[in-house]
This record gives sequence, C-alpha cells and structure tokens, in this order.
Amino acid sequence: MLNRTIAPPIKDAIEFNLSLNPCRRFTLKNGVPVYYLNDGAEEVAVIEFIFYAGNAFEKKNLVAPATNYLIKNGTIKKTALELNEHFDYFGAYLNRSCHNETAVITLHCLSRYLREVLPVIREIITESIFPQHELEIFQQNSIQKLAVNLQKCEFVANRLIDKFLYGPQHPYGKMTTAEDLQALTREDLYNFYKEYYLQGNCLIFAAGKFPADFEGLLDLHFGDLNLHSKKSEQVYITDLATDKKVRVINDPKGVQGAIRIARPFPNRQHKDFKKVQVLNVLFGGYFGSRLMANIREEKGYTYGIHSFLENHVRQSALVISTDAGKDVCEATLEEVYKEMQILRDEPVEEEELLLVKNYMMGLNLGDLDGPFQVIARWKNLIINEVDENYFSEYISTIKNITVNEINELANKYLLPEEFFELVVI
Amino acid sequence: ISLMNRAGSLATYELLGDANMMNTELEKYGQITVEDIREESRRIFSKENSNTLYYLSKN
Repeated sequence: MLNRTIAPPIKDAIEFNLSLNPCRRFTLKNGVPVYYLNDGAEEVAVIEFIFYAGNAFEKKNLVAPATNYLIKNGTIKKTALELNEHFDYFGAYLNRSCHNETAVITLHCLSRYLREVLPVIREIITESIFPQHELEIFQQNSIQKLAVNLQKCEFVANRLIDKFLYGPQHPYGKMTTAEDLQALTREDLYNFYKEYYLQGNCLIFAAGKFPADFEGLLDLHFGDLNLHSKKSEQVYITDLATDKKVRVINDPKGVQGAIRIARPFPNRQHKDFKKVQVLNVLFGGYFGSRLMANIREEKGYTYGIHSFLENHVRQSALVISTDAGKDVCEATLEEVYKEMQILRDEPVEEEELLLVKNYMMGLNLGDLDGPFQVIARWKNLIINEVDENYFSEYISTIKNITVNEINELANKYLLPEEFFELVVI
Repeated sequence: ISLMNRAGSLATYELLGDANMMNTELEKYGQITVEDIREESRRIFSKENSNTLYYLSKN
C-alpha cells in the first residue's frame, strides 16, 4: 500500500525505460492481418478497419473521402438513421476518416455487445448503397463549409503550402474545389467502394477487453469476405513549385497573416528522421522552443508559433507555422531565419538539450497511457512500413543524441534558401 | 480507461465533494427513468426558460 504522506522520489524522464507492449497478431482466412492487444481495466474495445482506399487511389478528385464519409449512410437493409440508431442503442460509436493512403472505419464499443455490432460493420463494408439524397446533402454541406473556410487565411495557407511542396496532382498536395464536389456522382462512389472496400486491401487493429473467442468472431464476420492483404505500389510524382517566396491577399480587410515556411523532408525511412524530430522540438516543437521564446514571448508577434514534420507515409516536409499580426509578418519571417542561423552557428547547451530530452520522454510516457494508445502506436509503425525496432531506436535517439549531432543537422537542413516562404493575409 | 482520464474524473468528483462518486456514477445513470426525463424536459424546455438570439447580416 502506497504511503501517500511521502512524495515519490524525483527522477528525470530520461531515466525511465520505455518499451512498446507487444501486440498479438493473426490472419483471417482471407489473409487479412489482425493486430490486437487484449488488455485493459474496463470492458470496452476499439476495432479499426483500415482499407487502402485513401486519396492516393482515386482517379477523380474527392471520390475517396466522399466514399469513406458516406459509407455508413445507408445499406441495402438499413437507412443512415437505422444504422446510427443500432450503434447508439448498444453504446457504440462508429467513426470514419479518410487519409492519403488509408481510409478507416473505427468502432468503439462495449465488449459485451461485440456480437451485436460486428455484423452491422460487415453490412457496411459489403452492402453500402450511397443513397443519392445522402450524397446531395454531403455535397451541399461540403460546398458551404469550403466556402466559409476559404475566407480564412490559415485554411488557404495550409493547402497552398502543400501544393508548393508536392504539386497540385500529388495526393498530399491536391486541393478541394466546389466544382469537384459538384461533379461527384453516386456511380463514382459505388465503383470506388466496389474496388477498394468490397475487394479491398485491408488491415485490422484492435485493443481492449475481448472475449476468448475474439479471433473466431472476427473470422466469422470478416474471414470469408473478398478482402486481401497485398502491397500496392502507388507512384507519386512530386511537382515542386518554382516560386519560393509567395504573398497572397485572401482578405483585404484581414488583420492576421498566416505564415508557412516549409521545405521538403524525407520520410521515417531516412536515417535523419528521428534525430531531426529532436532538433524540431528544440527549434519549434514545444512551448519553450527557440521560436516560441523569441517570436511569442519576447516579440509578441503571435499567440503561438511551432514547427513540425508532416505526418505522411511516403515523403514529408519540415514546416514552420504561425498566424501573426499582419504588420509584423515580415518581421516574424526575419526572426525565424535568425533562429535557424543561431542553431547553425552556435551548438546548443547541454542543459537545454536535456530539457528537450526529458520533455520528449515525458510526452511518450504519458502518451502510452492504455491499450488504445499502444495499438495506435503499432498502427503507426505498420502503416509507415517501419519495423518494431523503430520505437526503441526512437527512444534511444532521444536519450543519446548529442549537441554536435543537433548542430550538424541544423547545418544540413535549416537553410533558408531551401524553404518555401508563404504569407496569406 | 486511460490514466489521464481516471485522474481527471477523480479530481472532478473530489471537487464536487467526494472522489468516491466516480464509482457510483454509472449506477446513477442506470436509475434514471423515462418519467424522469419527461419531468425534466417539461421543466427545462419551456419558452419562458429560454432566450433567443437572431444574428442577421446587414442586408
């Protein structure tokens, strides 16, 4: 029994050993891999059905996200309302989301009602009909939402910078238009569904408290479906923009400018990726970062400024992002480049690097807070095609990276001439 | 089920007077009847108990 009158001893976060709990894996009859963690204090479960049905696979703009969005809006036997009521009744939540390579259907439910909800998931991934009136509502809402968003400089800046980095035809860079939304037809969606869901490339991740016959249950409901697990080799063509410095007036009455400074960066397969994650935290990845300390705390140009590596599978980018008062945008840009130069010219102090290391370790410790979070990490490793050593190598990088390595990487990547510079007011 | 959520719940109930209420909250939900909901709706959802704001464009 803990003696709660004595405070626990203070340790640096980097003193902890952190490992990722192994997950169980098995394959359904049709070859679909399942990764799961049967662990948890409560009788709840999450199951994610991941299809390689993301934006990269569509031949017509927006078909993939529309198909994913409307997949639960009507099947042969049930209307959208009836489907929602079924999940609500059993205390379950069904969500879907569409990304660049993957499109996901996520089920959260009480363990004891798995048998009642799994058949309806099967119904959704085999018998969806994409009713015309549901598509029309989706189109109308999306067009309206887009029109409102296009008035916001942050929204315009976010999609423009990706267009510069990847190109307007690239899955990571293409943009949504009202015309594309209007042009969607029910046939488009149903054909996409037939190819990428009905005969889809599928993976399943699950975590929580499962009954003893969980594997059998999954095989029963999904093992006979025409799904498979094959690696598909989509080829992406990058079309880097030629203009490096761009200024856009989106709203002449705007009071803030959205600033995006970005450079292409390789993906997690590259040897520098994990180390640059540490450099990134120090530079602009936490509240005490160089960028925050200067541009927010000292200069007061913005409420917040941060840098990050884009979370893409095939290729990435290092992005610095902030919204600043329109009269201080150019000054903000100068300060960002100044901070890059300081990191190139002056190696950081050990003390500051230790702070960053402890911060990152603490973040990871807190983030592995239960089976749902752990399975999400596994999913990340598998979708990004890195092996299970990646996690321990990442932890090791955090603990062992030196001030010299940080300095070398700053000199390799924090070069202003290699960045796009965009301000949208 | 995450530690963070558990800590948050404990803190909330302790502020409300008794951290142990975290263990009884499900029971309380389970005891609510259709009539309870009807009664409460009659009390809350009346015109006299609401304010309506119309936010119009200039034209």
